[in-house]
Amino acid sequence: MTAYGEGAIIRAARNDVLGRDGKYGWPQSDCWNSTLIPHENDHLKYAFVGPALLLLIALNIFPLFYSLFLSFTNAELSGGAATFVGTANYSTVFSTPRFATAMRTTATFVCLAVAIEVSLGYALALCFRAPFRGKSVMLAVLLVPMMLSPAVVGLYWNVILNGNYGILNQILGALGAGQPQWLTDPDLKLYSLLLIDVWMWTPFAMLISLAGLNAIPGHLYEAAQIDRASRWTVFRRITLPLSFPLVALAALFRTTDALKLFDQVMAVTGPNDEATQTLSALLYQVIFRNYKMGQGSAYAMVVLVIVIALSTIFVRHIQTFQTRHGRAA
Amino acid sequence: MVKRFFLGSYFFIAALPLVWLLLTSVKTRTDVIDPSFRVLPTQTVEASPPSFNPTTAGYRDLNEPISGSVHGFLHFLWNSIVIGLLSTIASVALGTSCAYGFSRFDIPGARDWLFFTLSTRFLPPLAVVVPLLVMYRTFDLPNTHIGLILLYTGFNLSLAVWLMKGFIDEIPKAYEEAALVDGYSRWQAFTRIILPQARTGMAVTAVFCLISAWNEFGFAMTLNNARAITVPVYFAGLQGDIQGIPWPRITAGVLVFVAPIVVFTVLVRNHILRGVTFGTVKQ
Amino acid sequence: MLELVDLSKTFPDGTQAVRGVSLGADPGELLVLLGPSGCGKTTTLRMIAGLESPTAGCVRLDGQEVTHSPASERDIGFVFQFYALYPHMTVLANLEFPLQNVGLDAENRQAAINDVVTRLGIAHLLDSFPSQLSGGDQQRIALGRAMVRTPRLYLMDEPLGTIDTGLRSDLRETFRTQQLDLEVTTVYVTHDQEEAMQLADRIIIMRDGVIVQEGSPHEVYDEPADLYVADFLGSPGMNLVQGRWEDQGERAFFATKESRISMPQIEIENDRDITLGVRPEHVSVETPLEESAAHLTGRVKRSEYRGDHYILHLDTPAGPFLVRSDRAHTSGQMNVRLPDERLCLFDTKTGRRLA
Repeated sequence: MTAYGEGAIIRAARNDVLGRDGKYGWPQSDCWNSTLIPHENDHLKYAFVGPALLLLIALNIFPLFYSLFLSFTNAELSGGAATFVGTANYSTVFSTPRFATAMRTTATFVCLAVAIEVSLGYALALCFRAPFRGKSVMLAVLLVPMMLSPAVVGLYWNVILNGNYGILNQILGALGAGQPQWLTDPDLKLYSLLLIDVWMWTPFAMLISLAGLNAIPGHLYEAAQIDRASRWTVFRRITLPLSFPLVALAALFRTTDALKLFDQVMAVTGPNDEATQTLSALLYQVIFRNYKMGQGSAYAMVVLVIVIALSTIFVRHIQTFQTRHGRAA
Repeated sequence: MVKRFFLGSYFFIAALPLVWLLLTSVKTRTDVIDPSFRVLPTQTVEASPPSFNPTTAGYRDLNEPISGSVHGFLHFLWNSIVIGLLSTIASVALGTSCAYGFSRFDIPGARDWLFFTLSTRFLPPLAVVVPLLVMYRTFDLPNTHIGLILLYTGFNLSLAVWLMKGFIDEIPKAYEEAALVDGYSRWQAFTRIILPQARTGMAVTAVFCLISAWNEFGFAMTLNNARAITVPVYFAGLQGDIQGIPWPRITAGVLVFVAPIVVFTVLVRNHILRGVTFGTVKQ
Repeated sequence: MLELVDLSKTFPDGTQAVRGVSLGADPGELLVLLGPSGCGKTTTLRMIAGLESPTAGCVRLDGQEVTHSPASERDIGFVFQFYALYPHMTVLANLEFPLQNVGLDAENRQAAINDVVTRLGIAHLLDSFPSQLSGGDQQRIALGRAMVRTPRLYLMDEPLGTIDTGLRSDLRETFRTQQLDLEVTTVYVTHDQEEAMQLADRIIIMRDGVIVQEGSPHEVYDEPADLYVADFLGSPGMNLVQGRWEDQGERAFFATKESRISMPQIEIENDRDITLGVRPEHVSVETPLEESAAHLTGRVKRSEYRGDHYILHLDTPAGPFLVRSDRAHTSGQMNVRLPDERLCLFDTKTGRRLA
């Protein structure tokens, strides 16, 4: 690079900084596409975004439509000719009691997991606000579980939850409590999965909540003190509403993620356990154990509709809640 | 005071499984499945007063095939490494160029595209696996490394695009403008101005793509049953054989498998929030 | 009403922000803490408010010790430099918040809000959110929020620091009018001397954590306690010329390297290092000179136009010298008379004023 070039770059960068922060310098936001080199974009921009989008279309959009097509056929995993069966697969889906059970299981799991993780995570974040010795080490250790493979974590928790020699029951035994059969009792299995999920993902909710709390400017707390607000009022009217958007975001992320629950199910109870058969596990069972690809696709389409609907409703809810809350307060 | 206690007890409970993992890996199998309350490895055979008596047998036998499997742990680890690394390189490369395009050009429907890429991340893998399987069969891709690499690249693209767009948006456009004025081509401006400045972002993105590919289970299990089996699939396959499996060897394997993730987590600790929220929240 | 005794604050990092500040305020008085940034004025204010805990000394309000009681128990109003309005509440909710906290019923809340809204002319803003308002309007609301509960003390931390110049004097007037009307004791922090002069009943000038001088605007301007105050106040500040005192029995002189100015008789020991201070507006340009009068001769370098007057930049044997004048002088020598009664003499070493 020439000396002139470097100088120009530094000047330009300074101009950019001024243009953003002050009222001086030429407007930065809209000038790019039109003024500098007219029409250079037209062919070039697709070279930048094209490859990635093509891959996404091939691996995401196309399969969705293909899945829709398959859901009207009786295709089998083993291959062979598939024939068009109309909406037969969908009638099967809605008349199978297992589907309703899987829906209930998934819903129970999602509701409990999100509620526990978000509230526990928020409470932890409140404790994590003030600086203290060893805070960063503690935070790092807490974040480890959520970075691990759910399938591997699920397998390993077998050692902890085992009814005979698991550490959990050993501790309970030492405390004189009972010996619940975490992995085999049909009433408990789902809660064992929930326990693993809470262990893995509470720190996630905590991390986002902490970001929300840290974003509240300190002078608002000073103002509230001057305004003679009690600690409870400060929490209820300042801390909670101002950190709510990010807490809601944590809930949204956890909801969409918990809806997919599959890896731990496979590693803890297997796909065909009635007490823990989530929607994903049911899909697996139908497609890979019963070899019914067409029917599996119908299940998949229904699941897709649910996932999309839920995330849409959630996003809308967050938006309206925010505006309403802002005005009501 | 209440806060300290609450935080302390949660930390203790949350750290326990991790500590237990470490302890289990240095025990004998007899020790692990002994139902009496035994925290430390004691090698029950000889030690009558329980004392700290670890064994490295779990690590020494790491590669012994388990329950009829042909391959040992290292074979699956190698699969994970190859697939993880190559797919990461591909997603970061494609994701960075795509993010640059979205960040600097006027792409028709850019918002829709971006939200579409994000929404693909919310879909359960099992819901799109059928058509993928059919497609893969057409191209002879099941059971190949390249098949999983391709899939993870596509799967991680949304993450890479969103993260990289956040990082590239933060680089002032003026740098490139100056370069263009100085006679650089657009491509030169991208490679010589943007890429060097986006290095941190690319490293963070790479770590999150790698972790995601490293940990993936749903696709890996359904698109493979022979050659390209990764560690999570191998481990999860042991479920149901609880009594028979050699826990010390497995937990040693789990530790070896998660160690790089822990190291990476520490390396990108300042960007974790960004990574896990697709760049929507910045620390 | 308000009393500070030997108030000190040392931060954990060792910074001594405030070192032994003592002052008092009478009911209804408006005190201005004036000084450059980092002089400890804001820290002093925050200790009065209870937002910062003093490391030594005490704060009394109405004769009652409040040094370590929390801000919420002191019954004060505080206006922050950056407004600190609650961003998720409307203007109305912002004004209502302090009233709800003291448990006022809806009817009385409404009455109090109506009163403040009328006083400040903010009725049209009540339904907006703070982020929709200009800086000036936001600060008006912040002022309203501090007033609405009618606290016993107002504390203001550079409230106009971020407001555009034109609007600033507007808001200053509004505030002063209300403060005089409500007769609430006020401590006002600023680094803007013009603002201090305009508002203050009494100005307290701080530097490096201690009070340098306190007095009415008149006192601190005309009789600066030391070189620092002399230079800090006024625009431009005082002319300061370094020299030596020559006491020759019946006559005294202020001598610089190249000139000698005859001086009135003052009790100062011979040969002491002295700095002579005089304000540009207190000297006069005169052609005929009495022999005995103190004067300086200099050459005009430049005339600076200030609208209603000029500032002449002079080169004198004693160094650069500024003179305020009604007319421009483009060039040539001129004599400047230094009126005895307006001269300030400072000890160069200590900076303290001698006479």
